[in-house]
Amino acid sequence: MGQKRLVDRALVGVSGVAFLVALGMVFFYAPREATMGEVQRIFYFHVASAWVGFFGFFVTFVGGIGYLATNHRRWDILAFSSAEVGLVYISMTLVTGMLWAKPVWGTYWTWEPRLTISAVQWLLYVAYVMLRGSVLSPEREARFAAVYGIAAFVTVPLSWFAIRWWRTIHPVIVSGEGMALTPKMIHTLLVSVAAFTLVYATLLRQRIALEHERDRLAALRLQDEATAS
Amino acid sequence: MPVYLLVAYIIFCVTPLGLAFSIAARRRKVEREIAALTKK
Repeated sequence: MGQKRLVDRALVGVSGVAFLVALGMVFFYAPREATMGEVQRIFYFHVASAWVGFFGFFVTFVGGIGYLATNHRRWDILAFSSAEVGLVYISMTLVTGMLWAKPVWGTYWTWEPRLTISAVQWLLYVAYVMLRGSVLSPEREARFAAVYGIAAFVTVPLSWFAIRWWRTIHPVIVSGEGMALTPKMIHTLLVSVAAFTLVYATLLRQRIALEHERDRLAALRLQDEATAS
Repeated sequence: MPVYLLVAYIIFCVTPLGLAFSIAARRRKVEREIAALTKK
């Protein structure tokens, strides 16, 4: 078995176990929150999912800078792959946030600063992923995507600070005065974040491998066309 | 258990798996095309 395949299998195993441990902690270790009750348990994976989405977009930002600096395809592949995985996680964050908001705020959605920025961010990255199969030449597409990925990243710090700068109903978990959580809640949150990060790494590796294979296929097609003519 | 909590955790479990299967399916498709071209 190749070393790459071994690493892939180990990552799948470790991230799967970490995910199950986190799931177990959410339901059997973390205490029931006094005000919101059972539904507050959405919090652990909701925050972990948002973290992975933000981290994924950060990797896209870094990949964009790397591509503009070096013109190497591997940076473009990293940026594109991470944006796709990050977008899936941010979509999950939005949907589960709505499911949490309904019983707690009495509505699925409200146009307050954090949620509005999240909606704009989601639309920006949907556009990014859709633009990647555009009619532009591959090099122009990659350069455009790099600039777009760098510019779109502004929504990540904006989303983080939105609940600190403006009046909003979204809770602030991490503030200058520490975390408003009990130790057991903090443990569960940290394990969830670690598990989600591992799953992200596993998915990102697979997505990058897919893009490399697509490149190989494109090269083979060119070679085939050249031979035919 | 509140229905919102249940639905949220179903989404948390199914979505990453869905993405993994989607990537695997796309890889298999590309691999088949590569194999066909290499054979040719």
